[in-house]
This record gives sequence, structure tokens and C-alpha cells, in this order.
Amino acid sequence: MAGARGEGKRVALITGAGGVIGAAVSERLHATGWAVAGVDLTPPSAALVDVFFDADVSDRAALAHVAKSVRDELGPIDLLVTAANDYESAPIGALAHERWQRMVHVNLGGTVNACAAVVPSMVEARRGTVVTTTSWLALAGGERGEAYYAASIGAVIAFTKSFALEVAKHGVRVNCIAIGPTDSGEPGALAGETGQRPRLAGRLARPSDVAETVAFLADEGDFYVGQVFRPCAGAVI
Amino acid sequence: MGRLDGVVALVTGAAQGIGKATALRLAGEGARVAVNGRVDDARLRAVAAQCGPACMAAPADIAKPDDVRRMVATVEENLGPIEVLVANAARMTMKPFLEQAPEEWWNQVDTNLGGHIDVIGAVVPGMRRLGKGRIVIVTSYWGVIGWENATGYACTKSGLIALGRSLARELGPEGIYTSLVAPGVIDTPQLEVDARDAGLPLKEMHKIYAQGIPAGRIGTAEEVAATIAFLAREDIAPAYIGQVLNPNGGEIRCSM
Repeated sequence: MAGARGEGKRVALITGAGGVIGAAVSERLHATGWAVAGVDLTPPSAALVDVFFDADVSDRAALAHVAKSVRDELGPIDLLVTAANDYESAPIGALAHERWQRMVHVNLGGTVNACAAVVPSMVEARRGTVVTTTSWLALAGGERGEAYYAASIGAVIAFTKSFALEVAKHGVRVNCIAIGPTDSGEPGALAGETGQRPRLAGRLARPSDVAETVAFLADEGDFYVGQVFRPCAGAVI
Repeated sequence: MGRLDGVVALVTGAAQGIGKATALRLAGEGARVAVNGRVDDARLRAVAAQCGPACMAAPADIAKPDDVRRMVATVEENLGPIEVLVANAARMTMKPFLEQAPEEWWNQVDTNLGGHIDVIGAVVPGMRRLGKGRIVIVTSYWGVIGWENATGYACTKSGLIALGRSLARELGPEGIYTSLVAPGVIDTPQLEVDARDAGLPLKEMHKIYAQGIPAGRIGTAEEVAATIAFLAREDIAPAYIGQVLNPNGGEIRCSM
């Protein structure tokens, strides 16, 4: 039963919707007729989402509540994009234990929590698309005190592959996008972008690359399961 | 208005299967498509006609360098410089390694790998004149993990990955972007070769393959064509330079 506000529209839930990547994804989906629900600690521009939830992705109960609210208000969730991200660099041993834990609980835990909150109803409906996000640093390694971050976000790849296999037979497609060093217009906003120069592609990765990949997976990606897409403009080949 | 309005595209091996689906998809997005097939026959001309009046049949055996040069020159003359190349044509024979006749083995190399080296070599100068281009190479998951009784085919597909990634690095800085697709088991006439090798009816072969795929089914040529059309987009190609996309239903233990 579709809620009043999402009538006739496909429904997407985006975590990290207030960030550079989440906002680009929200904007792309919103512009092409999706009803978009956003989750973050900082709200995105109101024009990009139909509903916003101020919630912490590391809080499993909070995400379960968000998922239920989205279903009630907009209708069944067709697409989940997990883009909440916590980045900090520090040499090993130099990061406070609580900060490391926080990074793991947002980057890995936030992904797991969102999937646990949303996917059971997709399995029941026997359809749905999930796109998780990781970083090119998880593939290439980071040079500048990024071992903590790379570990926390790289775990998303292992989670995605196994979870994808778990739910593929139920018609739910789970894949991952590795975000490259990104030209966000906000230096330092994303992991690893400072100091990266466009080399092969004449430009850095763009948030729109991620947004277009999400749209492709939602529209035409039914034969992709457990893949890691790398629209990183040649940062990792 | 299509995403590829007016763009000239050449698709090799487009008389059937993934190539045909790709030619139709690109034409549907507005491209003027040159439809290559090995033989100049009614089947090839029918695909070109189905693509639309702005498209043409471009017959050539890509294993023959002179044919390739002539074909590319004809396409450029009729449609203009090629902006999108889909390197798809492939031969496959299956035999145990020691039983395969050397000429059968090398025929696959001469078409799949050598043929596309010639095609790309003939097309890139036009892309340079145009100042841009996208090359999408169709490889195979067998080129990633290898496959029994398919050594020749797997070698060529593996070679195409190295070729594509090297071209991505070499041509990227001048605005010519190369990326790759490694399809899993797709419902195309090529599956008849697999079925013959296994000594099974085609239907049974489909079923056995589907059981081993996490998605629970084999893929369609149209799904692979959708990926190729995505990579052929001018806004997307630079993001995916040098990457291999794997529409394979979840054969993730055999992905790049």
C-alpha cells in the first residue's frame, strides 16, 4: 500500500543524504521521478528529498524506525543506497579507540543496519535494489594514514558480496560502488581526494558518476549481483 | 532525443547475440550504427535495416587486416568518423587442449584478439581527428577465470582485458576512453557451442547454467547491451576508464 506522498512513484532510501555523494544520488533520483527519503545527521537541501530523517546510521533501532516510517509515508522501498561515511586519517596507533570504533560503526555498521532494516521487506516483495558504497582506498590502499578508514570501509565490500549471494535468490540485487578521489567542489570533503590529480581521464571522479551508476543499477542492473563498480576515473585499474 | 543522437558507432559481430542487441540499443539511443558481421548476407542486412535508415551493414571478416581497413574506410566515408566502437565479434570452439587442431585454436586468436587489434588500430585515427572516442570491449568471464575445453577462447578474452586496460592508459589522456564488459552466461546462439561440447540439448544447458548462477537465471543479450550503452555514454566513459563490468548474475568468484 503506497503512502499518499509517494503515490505511483518508486521509493528510494538514501543514508548519508546530507553528504556530497548522498546529495548527488538524491538529486538524480528526485529529478527522474523517484520519491526520496534521506537519512543523515545533517540535512540535505530540502529540494532533494521528500522526507528527511535525522538519525544516526550506527543506531540499529533508529534505522528500523526510519525504514518503517518511509514505508508508511511513501510506500514500499524499491531502492536502498548506503552512503553514510565517516572519514579520519591517522597513523596506526594514533587514533583514539573511540574514533576507530565510531568509524567502523558508521561505515560498516551503518551499511549493515540499513540493510537489516530495509531488505527483509524487499525479500518479501521478491524485488529490490541495494547499492552500498565503499572507497577506492579499500581497493588501492591509502598512503596518508588511511589504514583505519580503508579497513572500516573495505569491510563493506566483503559484506556486500556475501549479502548479495544471500538475497539474490529472493530477487534482491545488492552491489557496491567504490567511490574514487572525487571532485566535490569541497576540498577535504571526501577521503583521499586532496593531492589526487586527474591523470588518465582528464578529470577526477564526480558525485554524478555515482548517481548515474545507482540509476543504472536500479533501472537496468538486474543481472548484477555482488559486484564492486569502480567509477573512479582511472584511480584504480 | 537520444543520448547518442548523431554519434557514429561501429559494432563488430553484430549479426546476432550481444552484438545485435547492442547495435539495436545504440541505434535506439540515436546513434548511426555500422553493423559489422563476418558475412555479407541477408541476416546482417536485416539487422542493419532494423537499426534504421541512418545505419548500415558493414561486412568484414575482422581476422583479415585488408577487410578491416576497407570496412572502416567505408563506414567513415558513409557515416563519418567513428566515435563509439564496440569490439564484440568472437569465435569460439571447444575442444580439449591437446585435441584442438592448431588452426582452430589460432583462428580464435586471429579474430577475437588480432582482429580487434586491427579494428581498433583502424578506428583510433578517426577518433583522434574527432578529438574524442569511446571503446567498449566485450570480453568474457571465461577470460577472467579460464574454462576447461576453451583454452583458445579464454586466452583471447584474457588478452582483450590486458589490451583494453593498456589502451585505457595510453589513449585516455587524449580523450579516448576504453572500458570492458565481461558477461557471464548469456542467452545467445553461442550457447549452442557449449551445449554441443557438453553433449546436451540447448534447453538442458540453459537449465544447468541457471542452477549455478546466484541470480537463478542466465542473462539476456539486451542486459549486456544496456551495460555497453551505459559505458558508451560521453559523461560516463571517463569515470569507468579501464574498468571491467561483470553482468554475470553473481558469479562473483570470477569477477575482475
